[in-house]
Amino acid sequence: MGLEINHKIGKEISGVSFHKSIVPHTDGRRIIYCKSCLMPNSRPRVYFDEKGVCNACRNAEGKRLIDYDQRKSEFLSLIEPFRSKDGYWDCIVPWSGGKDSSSIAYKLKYEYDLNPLLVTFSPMLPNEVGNQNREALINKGFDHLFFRPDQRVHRILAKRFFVERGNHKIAWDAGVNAIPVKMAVKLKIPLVFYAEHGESEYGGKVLDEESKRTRDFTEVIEHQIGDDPRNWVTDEVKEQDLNPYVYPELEEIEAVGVKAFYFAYFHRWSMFENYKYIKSKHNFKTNPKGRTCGTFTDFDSLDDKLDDLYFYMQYIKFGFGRCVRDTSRFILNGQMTRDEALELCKKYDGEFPADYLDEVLEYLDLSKEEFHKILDMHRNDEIWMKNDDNWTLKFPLE
Amino acid sequence: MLRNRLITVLTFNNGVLFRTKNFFPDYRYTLNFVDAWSIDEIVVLDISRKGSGDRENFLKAVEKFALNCFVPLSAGGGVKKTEDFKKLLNKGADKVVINTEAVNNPELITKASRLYGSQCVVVSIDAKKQAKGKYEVYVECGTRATGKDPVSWAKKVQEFGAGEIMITSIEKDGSLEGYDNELNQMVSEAVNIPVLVCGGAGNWQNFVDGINIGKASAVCTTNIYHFAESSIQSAKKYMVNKGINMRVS
Amino acid sequence: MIVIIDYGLGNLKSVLGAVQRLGYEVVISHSVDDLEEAEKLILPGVGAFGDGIRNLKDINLIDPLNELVLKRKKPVLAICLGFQLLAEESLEFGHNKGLGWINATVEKINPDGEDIRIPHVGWNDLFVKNESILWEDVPAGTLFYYTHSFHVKCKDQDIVIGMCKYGIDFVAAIQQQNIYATQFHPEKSQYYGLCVLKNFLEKA
Repeated sequence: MGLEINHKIGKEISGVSFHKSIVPHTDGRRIIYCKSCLMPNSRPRVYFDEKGVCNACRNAEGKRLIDYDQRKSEFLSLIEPFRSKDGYWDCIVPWSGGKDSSSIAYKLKYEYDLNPLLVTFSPMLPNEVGNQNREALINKGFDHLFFRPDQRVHRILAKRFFVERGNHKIAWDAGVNAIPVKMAVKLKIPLVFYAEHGESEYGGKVLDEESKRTRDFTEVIEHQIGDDPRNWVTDEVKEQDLNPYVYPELEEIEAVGVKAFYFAYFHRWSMFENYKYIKSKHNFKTNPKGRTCGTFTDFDSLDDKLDDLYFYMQYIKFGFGRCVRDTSRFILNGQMTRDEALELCKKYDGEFPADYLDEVLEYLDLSKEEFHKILDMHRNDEIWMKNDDNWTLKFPLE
Repeated sequence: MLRNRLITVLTFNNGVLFRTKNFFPDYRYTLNFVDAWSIDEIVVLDISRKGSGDRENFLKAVEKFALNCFVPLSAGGGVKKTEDFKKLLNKGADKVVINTEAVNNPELITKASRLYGSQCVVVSIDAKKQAKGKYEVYVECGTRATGKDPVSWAKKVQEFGAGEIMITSIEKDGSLEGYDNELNQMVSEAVNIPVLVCGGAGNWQNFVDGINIGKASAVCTTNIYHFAESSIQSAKKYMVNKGINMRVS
Repeated sequence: MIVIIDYGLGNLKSVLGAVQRLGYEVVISHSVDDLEEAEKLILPGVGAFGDGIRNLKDINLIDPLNELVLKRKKPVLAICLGFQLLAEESLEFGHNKGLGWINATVEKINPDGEDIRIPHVGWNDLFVKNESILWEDVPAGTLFYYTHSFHVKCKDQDIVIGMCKYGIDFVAAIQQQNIYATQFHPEKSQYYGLCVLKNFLEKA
């Protein structure tokens, strides 16, 4: 009895069972949930203090003490030297057409009198709601640069990272970060306004106070993308295919003097408030299904058919889905109680993204069987257990 | 001729695979498709802080790697005596990495290389840059300064009988910015045993620089995303194109 | 059943893993009964020559091994230090006598040029000297993993089936009737290492 060795078998040997058995987990590592919001300790980089409250909640508490009038004057002094004197664009807003980036764009133009250029890195699978919301804001008076990356390459990378990391949006993340700054450098536009600093707002690692205000790109590479996009060259993806994903060199950025800031640092920030704001400005369309899959909201992150799967993979890997994420944000902003949140999450969290499944499978070039196999391989053993054919959370929400 | 090596270093905290930044466990790496056919060697290190380590789970990890990866495996972390060597070798490691104890008790290097062969003994040196371009060796996961200079310590370590040296820049750890090749070169040129460089590997050019500028025999990466088969192949192809002799499949 | 000889030295687990992965029934043992029952033997080894030979003596395996391998021609694959132990003597840490199964001595790798670091660690080329079942399906230019400071200098060139170069040209592998040996570690040489191992297990 001998195993025929060839590369194909080699792949199988080093594929499923091999991978599954290699990385150990600590039996009995308890998953606990923040006493204030619903975030579990399985979230990467979240930190719980001795009272069992997560750093996102502590950050929110701290924010209540912020003097936003003072922050606003800080903002005004910040933008003044960059304000265009000849009508040229003076700032870029990385823009999806959603409530957050649209609110920023609108305020920058109509409250602060700046001249923003909206730059969109195309959703992977754009949908009607997204298109309509973008068009509606453009109708209110905005210049817009829409970048859609090479889809042959984008699909290859989406599939690769879905398989390797359980996240098909890695390359998209890289693009969303790189393109606006690339445009700022090429078009010599000095300011880029991002929304909020995810690490401090939602439970992550805060490098220092300044990183809440000024965007630190190494942080994005380390935490979100995890690797330099230039490393993604393979037989199918060449160096020139990676232009959309590679951040400009620091020297180039400094030569133009581009600076990137978080708008949310200077203004009271809540996704619900942003939604109400933009709805008052134009006919902002919400999810036509009435409620987004996996959550209770109908107004957040609506523009990509692949987003439902993204949040579902978050659920698979970390045990918390879109509802936990949204309700926790509401709790942070005093817009919901923990009990109300718990009820909603028990209903909606972890809902399977059935709606666009066919398109997702086509985009990722996977059969249904392959898809489910890969999905299950990304289940974290510390949080999932299998009873017969059903997967259940070892430590359900409480 | 002998090829340069690309080595994956995996750090375990309490038995769980963790990324580190400046030597602190940063966050838990989630499960990943790791395919080990193209990697040249694997190093697994237990970086659990004193007293908090769950040694059993780490040893299980060593065993699982040994049984499933047909590639050289080095293991280390908290090794204090030759019995610890034996334990790791019995679990399937080919080489044992020692760090703090090499400083506290250099005879361990000699004893272990006598017992198990020098090729079994890898001494890991962690260094931090000080003022005026000097470096200092730190131990205990980068928390305790020793007053030693990495170059003279490296020479001593070779004398004591180590088979290989692994040099890591503490500041560069987890930074993705590239190695500290000044440090690497100093240590590499001071000894006549293979030197593995670690700390800061970000893009493939960093690996090339580690060998050309840092004069390394082998370049290490602690980034789990570099462990995927497509990444390793991509990295090696890049390195070969830049004239580095690598094993390519 | 395959028996991996346990004489207290070396990472037996990796060899065990490799043989198991190839689908063979295998045990790690130093009991003479097991050795007698075995279809084939593997003599691994990582460590110093002197300790290796002394350990074999201490557990009284030298005579049984001589009987099984030299007289009864049981196929044996010796790896790394195991290979070195087959020699007549070694110059590692003084003068030590080996098993004497092959006409060879073990000497330090003396580097010719500069930039040669000892021990020889890493992946290096195999130059096939003579045909052997070990090389079946192994393409030209295959690399294997080495980690050693000493090499086996063979007086009898006929048994040499593979060579390697590191400073000097040294013997990578030999085959003398039922005795096979490699300086490299097949269990650590990934895909083609497993191939070599499989060839021994299947065809020797």
